[in-house]
Amino acid sequence: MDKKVGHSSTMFATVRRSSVAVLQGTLIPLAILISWELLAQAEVVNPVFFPPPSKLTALLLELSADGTLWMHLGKTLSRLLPALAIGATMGLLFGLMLGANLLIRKFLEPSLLALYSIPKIALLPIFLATLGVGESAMIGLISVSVFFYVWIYTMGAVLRTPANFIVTAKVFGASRFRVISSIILRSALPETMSGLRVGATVALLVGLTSEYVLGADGIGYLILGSRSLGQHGLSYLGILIAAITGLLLQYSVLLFDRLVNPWVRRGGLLYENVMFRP
Amino acid sequence: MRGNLKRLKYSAPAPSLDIYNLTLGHLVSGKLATALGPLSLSIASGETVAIVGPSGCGKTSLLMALVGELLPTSGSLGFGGQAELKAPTSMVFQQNTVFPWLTALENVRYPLAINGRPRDSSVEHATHWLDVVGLKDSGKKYPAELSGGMLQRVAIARALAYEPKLLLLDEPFGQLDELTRLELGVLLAGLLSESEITTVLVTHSIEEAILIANTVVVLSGSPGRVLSKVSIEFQTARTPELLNSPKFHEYMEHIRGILLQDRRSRD
Repeated sequence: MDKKVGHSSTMFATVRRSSVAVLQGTLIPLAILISWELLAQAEVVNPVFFPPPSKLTALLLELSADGTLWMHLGKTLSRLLPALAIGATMGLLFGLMLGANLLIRKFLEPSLLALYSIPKIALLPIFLATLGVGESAMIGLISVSVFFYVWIYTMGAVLRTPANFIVTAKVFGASRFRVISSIILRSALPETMSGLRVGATVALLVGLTSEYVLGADGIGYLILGSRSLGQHGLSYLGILIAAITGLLLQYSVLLFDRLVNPWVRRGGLLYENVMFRP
Repeated sequence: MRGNLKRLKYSAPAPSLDIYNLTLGHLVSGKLATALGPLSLSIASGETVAIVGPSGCGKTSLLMALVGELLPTSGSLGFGGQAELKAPTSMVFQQNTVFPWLTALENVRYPLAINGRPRDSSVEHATHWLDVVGLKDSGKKYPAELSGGMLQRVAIARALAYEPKLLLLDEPFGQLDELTRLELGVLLAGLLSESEITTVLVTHSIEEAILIANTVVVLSGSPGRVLSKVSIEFQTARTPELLNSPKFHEYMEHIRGILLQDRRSRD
């Protein structure tokens, strides 16, 4: 309605606004890269430990051309994505189960909370022993890391489902299953997505660390394995790619969130205007 | 088989309510505190009854007991001669219970959808009810985009779209401004006068009770007991102007008098 709010703005204006946002977001990384380049070229910092971005770019093109880069990225993603799917699904199921059933919660919550506090990488040997040295162990470990965040966020949201929503549905004749699927799940989903956002980043961390520990391949191996071989350029490249992967992962979850919960961003325009516009 | 049962359910008459020596309680730090009763009350099939009384006299608890969410500590409830509530029932709360993840239309369609009504027919039916409550053009909006008054209209449309035989209203307009309250009260009174739904309206507004109901049951302060049952009869339709009529004022005075006397006897 109000043009400033942007609901009735044209597509052109939307594109322009997002381009401005992208520019705003890249300004700081760009400034860092430029200073880095200048400092390395002037040898204020040691170019062996801090190879200038121009050299990194050359290395990036080289590795990209011979496929090494894509191989490592592909390996990391082939562990990360299935693990995210498994961990998120299990987390959602357990969140619903423990949230909706007091008895199950009493039995499982203490054990799960205890496991939640353990640094997940410490569990790697157990996974290696049970699932074998290989992909399954890494996927298993990453799934578990994602699981805890999705579980804990979902359970919290389930417990906060307004009682009157549930009574309303029950009075209309909704079965227990219907109450869970059409009320409790729907009202919890936005927080499940918040859990997935946190979980996705932790998954990346755990994934990269286990790649390094196992010394196989993937971006984690690129970052830490090459550093121990003195290939600092390769290591920085790995960091850069990990950062970009993490960023894209976050945006993907946000996009998924908007698809699953289209109602969350409706209304509240005034709030957004008052709080966040300079 | 399932379809047949459903049809039977829908064609059943609106239930009468028989409340006999009912007491309801809550556990307060391990001890049972009586919230309501003992209370006996008969509500005829199709009747619109308003229950008024001071805050905390157990009005909401009574509705929760009717839908089986609160078990009586003693006494009994009967629904058209049966111990269990089987007739299709709708409930509207004071707090907004329009599901925020569904559009207005999907909210109204909800009770039909979960009871297996085909999509086309339920959309048509829900659209009709949105129209009845004056929200024809807001079907695609999400609750966050609607005002408080519009949300209660959606809640009422949803409750009536289910074609209930029993309608339970818990302070449905409690959070609305005076004029919207009056407007929706008139709308609801009109809709109920054309239907055969047994309705229980819980409210602390005497005005609202007289405007909507055929019978006003006055409850005492906690634990609530029936102080009086007042029949409300008007020759004309329930309109905002009715509030200015001498008869309306008479009812107001009468009911307020009963409540005041109860309050004084407790002080």
